[in-house]
Amino acid sequence: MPKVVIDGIEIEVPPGTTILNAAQRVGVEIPVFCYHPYLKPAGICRMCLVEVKGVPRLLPACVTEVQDGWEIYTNSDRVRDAREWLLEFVLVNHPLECPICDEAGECELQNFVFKFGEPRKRLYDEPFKYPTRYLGPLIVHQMNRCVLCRRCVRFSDEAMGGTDWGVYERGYRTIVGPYESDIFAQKYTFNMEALCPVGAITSNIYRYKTRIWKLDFTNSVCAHCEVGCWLDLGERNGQLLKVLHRRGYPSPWICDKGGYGFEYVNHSERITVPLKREGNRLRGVTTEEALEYVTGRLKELVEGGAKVAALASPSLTCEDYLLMGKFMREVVGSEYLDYRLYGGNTYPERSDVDSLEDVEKAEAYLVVGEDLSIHHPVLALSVAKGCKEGGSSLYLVVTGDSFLFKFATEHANPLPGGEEKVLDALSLALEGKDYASLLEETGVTGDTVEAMARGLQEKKPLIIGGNRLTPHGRTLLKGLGEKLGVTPLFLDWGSNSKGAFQMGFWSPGGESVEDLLNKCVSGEIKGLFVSSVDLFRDYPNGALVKEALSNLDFLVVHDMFFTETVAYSDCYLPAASFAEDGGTVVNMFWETQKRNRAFKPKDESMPLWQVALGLSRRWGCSLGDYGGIEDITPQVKERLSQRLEVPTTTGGVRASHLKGDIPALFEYPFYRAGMKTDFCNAFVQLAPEPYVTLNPEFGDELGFKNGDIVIVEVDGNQFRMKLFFRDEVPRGGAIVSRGFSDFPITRALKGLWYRGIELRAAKE
Amino acid sequence: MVGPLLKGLRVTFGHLFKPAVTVKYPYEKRPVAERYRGRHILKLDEDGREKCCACGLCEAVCPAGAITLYGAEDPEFKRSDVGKIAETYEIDYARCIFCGYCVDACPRGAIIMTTDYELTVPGPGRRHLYKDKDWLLEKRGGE
Ligand code: SF4
Ligand code: SF4
Ligand code: SF4
Ligand code: SF4
Ligand code: FES
Repeated sequence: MPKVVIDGIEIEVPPGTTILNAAQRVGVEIPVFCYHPYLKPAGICRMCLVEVKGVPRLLPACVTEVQDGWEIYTNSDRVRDAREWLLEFVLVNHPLECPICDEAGECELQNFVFKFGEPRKRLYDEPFKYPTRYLGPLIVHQMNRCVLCRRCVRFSDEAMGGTDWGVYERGYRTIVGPYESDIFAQKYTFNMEALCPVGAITSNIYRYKTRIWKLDFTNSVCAHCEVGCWLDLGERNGQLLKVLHRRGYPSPWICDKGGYGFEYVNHSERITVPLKREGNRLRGVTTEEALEYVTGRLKELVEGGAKVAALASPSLTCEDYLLMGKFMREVVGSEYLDYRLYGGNTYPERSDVDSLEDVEKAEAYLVVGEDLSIHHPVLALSVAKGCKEGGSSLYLVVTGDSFLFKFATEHANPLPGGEEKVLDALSLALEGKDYASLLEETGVTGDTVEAMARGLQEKKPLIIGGNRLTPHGRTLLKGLGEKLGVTPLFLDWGSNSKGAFQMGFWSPGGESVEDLLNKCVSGEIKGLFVSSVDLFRDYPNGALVKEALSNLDFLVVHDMFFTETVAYSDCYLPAASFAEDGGTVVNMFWETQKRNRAFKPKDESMPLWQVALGLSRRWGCSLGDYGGIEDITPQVKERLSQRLEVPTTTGGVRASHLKGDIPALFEYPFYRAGMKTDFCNAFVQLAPEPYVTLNPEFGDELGFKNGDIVIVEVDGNQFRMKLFFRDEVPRGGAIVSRGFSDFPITRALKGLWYRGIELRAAKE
Repeated sequence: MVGPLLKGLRVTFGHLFKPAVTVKYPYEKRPVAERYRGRHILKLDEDGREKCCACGLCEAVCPAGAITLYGAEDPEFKRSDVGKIAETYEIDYARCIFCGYCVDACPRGAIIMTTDYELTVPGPGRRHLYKDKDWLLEKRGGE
C-alpha cells in the first residue's frame, strides 16, 4: 500500500486512491469545483491543484493517483498562488451579483474566494451577458454565473443516460445547457440544481423568495414514494420554501417530486378549518363542534346496526394508521379498513434486497409491470447505474416505459394489459415449453421472450415486480423467481404501504377497497371516513366511487383541499401535511425511517392520529394516554417487528376490460404521481391536462397528427384531450394520463389500469 | 441651619433667571445633528425603481431582529434594475435600536436613515410601530 505524507501527516492508502481522497481521509481541505463524490472524476476545473515534492508541475488532486513516498503539499506558496490566480480568472467574467443570487450563502465560489482568494481584481473585461433562461417552472439557468465545472452535464450523462443538456462551443465561450428544449424538466432535474456549485442553475420555485440562512432545516423523509429519500425541509415562518437533500440517503440523488413537490403545503387554496354540511353548504365550524358532530353521527350509525369503514392514503405515518385502526376496531367496532386506494388487491411482501446498494450490485434485472421512473424514481436510477456502470443486463416487461428502456438489454413492450401474459410466456420459456399462443395479443415477439429467458438463466437477476401487477401477476412472478432462485422485490403504491400493512390497517376478512365500496353501494356500510386521498382522482373506478359515496349516510373527509370527495362529504376535517407532523414510515426495503415535524400544523389542521384520539375521547373511550407522537412510536416499533400473515388475494386482468378498439393503459404522468401533486403549481404547469399518447407509426395509420385534439370514448363517456406521439408506446396501444383531480378520467376505469378505448378526431 | 437653606435657594433663584434648556415639544422641535439616526427610508433610483434587491443583509445584520423581508422577482425590470425586489419589507420600530447597521450592510445604498424621530401616534398599542414597505419607501418627488 502506498504511503504518502500530506502536509506533514503520514497516511497509508490503498493503491489507486487519488490525492484528494487521501487528503479527505486525513482531514485536509482541498477546494474543488468539478469533483463530486458521486460523479466520475473529470479534472476540468483545476481548482484542486496541489504540489508534490519532486514533480515540477502542480497536479490536480482529484484525478491524480498517489504513488508511494510522495510528499504532498496542499498549502504551499505555489499552491496558494495557483488558487488565487484561478479564482481571479474565474471572476474575470463572473457577474458577482451575490445580492440577487439565490446561491449566495451556499455558493462554493463565494466560499473559496473568501477562503483562498485575494480581494483584488487585476484583469478587466466586459462580463458575459448571456440571457437568463427560464427553463420551465422548475429551474432557471444563468450562464453568466457558470464556472464550467460540467457537473450538471456529467450527471445528465452518467446518471440519466443523456438528456438535452450539454456543453457547446469552446474555450471561454463555452456554454452549458439544453440545446433545443425551452422547458427542462426531466424527473431528476433537482439533482442538477443541487450539484451546481454556483448559482448558474437555481430553482424557479424558490426564486428570490428568501435567503438560505433564513431557513430552518428539519430532517425528514419524502412522502411521495416508497423509496423514502431523506430530505431537509427548509422552513421559514410556517412556510415550506425549499427542500435540500444534504444527507444523500438512501441514494445521493432524489427525484423532482421530492425536491420540488412540496408547494401544496403552502398552497393558498388549502382549507385549514373544519367544515360541516348544512343542506347544500359546508359551513366553517370549530374543531370541537366538528369532532362532536362526527362522533355523534358515527355513534348513531353504529347503534343503529350499520357498519362504518375507514380508508386512508398509503402515504401517512404508522402512528396515524395505528391510532385510527385502534379507534375503528376498539371504539367503533369495525374491521373495515384499507389503505390500498390506488387500486390493486395485493399486500406488501418481503424480499431479500435490503438497500439500493444491493440493487446496484445485481448482475441482471427483470422489471415487470411498472414504469419505475414514475412511481419509484430513485430505484430506476439505481437500476440504470447497475446497467451502466456494473454492466448488468436489464430485461423490461413494461408497457410504455419512459426511462429505463434506454438501458434495457431486452425490452418487451406489450400492449396494455399484456404484461402478465408475457410474464406467463417467459416462465414457460424458461421451462422450455411452448408459449406462442400467449403472445398473440401482446405485440411481443417470441425472439424477445427467448432472448430474455436465455439471459435470465445466465445471470442471477434481481426481479422487480411493479405496482401494476395483479395478484395473479405476482403469483406468476413468484413462480418465475422460484425457478431462478430469487425472491422478487414487490413495489407498492404510496410512501408507506408497508407501514400501513404492518399496523394492520386492512380488513382481516380480505376485503379489497372494491369490496368495501360495493358494500357502501349495497347499504351495508353507511358511514365512511376517508383520509388524505381524493378517491375520484386516484381510485381507478370513478363510477363505483360515485355510487358508493352518494349512497352513504355519513361521509367524513380528512384532507387538505376541497377535492371532489370532499364535495360529497358531510364533514371535512383539515389534515396536517407531511412537514407538519412527525412519525414513522417504512420504505420499500422494510427499513424504518422517521419523519420530523418542521413546523406546527396550520390553523386547525390535525394529523390523523390526533383526529382518532379526539374522536375516541368524545366517544367516551380512551385509546390511551398519548401526549405526542413520541408516546405512540414505541407501540409502532413493536408492531413493526411482528410478522403478519399475508391474506391470499385473487384477481387478474379480465379480458372484458380490454374490449374496444385500442387497449389503453391509464398512467400518471411523472409530475402528477405522488401526494397532492395537483396542488403543486410547478407540476400543474408541467402536466396541465390529461393527454393520450400513441406510437407515431400507429398514430399515422389512424390518421392522427402529433398535437391533435381527440375524443377518447369509453362506455359512452367521452373525454376530449390532446394527442401526442411518443416512440415508447407500443404499436396498437395507447397510454392515457390520469391523476387529475379536476378531470374525471377514472370514470373510464373498472378497477384496473387498463381499458379498451375508442379514439376519434374531435370536431372543431 | 439657615445657611444651607439660603445656599440652596440661591441655586434655585439663580436658575429662575437663566434661559430655559427644555423645549416645548411638540410645539417646538430641537434641531438634530446632520447624521442623526432616525427612521429609515427605502430609496428609489433616478428612474423611480426600488433600489432594495432583497439581499437580506440588513435583516441578517440587525442586532435587534427588527427587519423582516421576503423577496420576489420582477421579470420585466419595471420596479428594479436588477429584476429582484423586496416583496415585503417590514421594520418593527418597537425593536429597532437605531444602530444604523442596516444602512452600513446594504450593498446598494437602498436603506438610509433620516433625521425624523417622530414615530409615535396618539393612542394605545404598539402595532403602529410595525412599519411596512409602503410606509418605508421613499415617495416619488418627496423627501
Ligand atoms: S454564483 Fe456565487 S459568486 Fe456568483 S453571484 Fe451567485 S452567489 Fe455570488
Ligand atoms: S451550470 Fe453549474 S453545474 Fe453546470 S457546468 Fe455550470 S457551474 Fe457547473
Ligand atoms: S418521490 Fe420517491 S424517489 Fe422521489 S424523492 Fe420522494 S422518495 Fe425519493
Ligand atoms: S437601525 Fe439597527 S436595529 Fe434598527 S433596523 Fe437597522 S440594524 Fe436593525
Ligand atoms: S476538482 Fe480537480 S480539476 Fe476540478
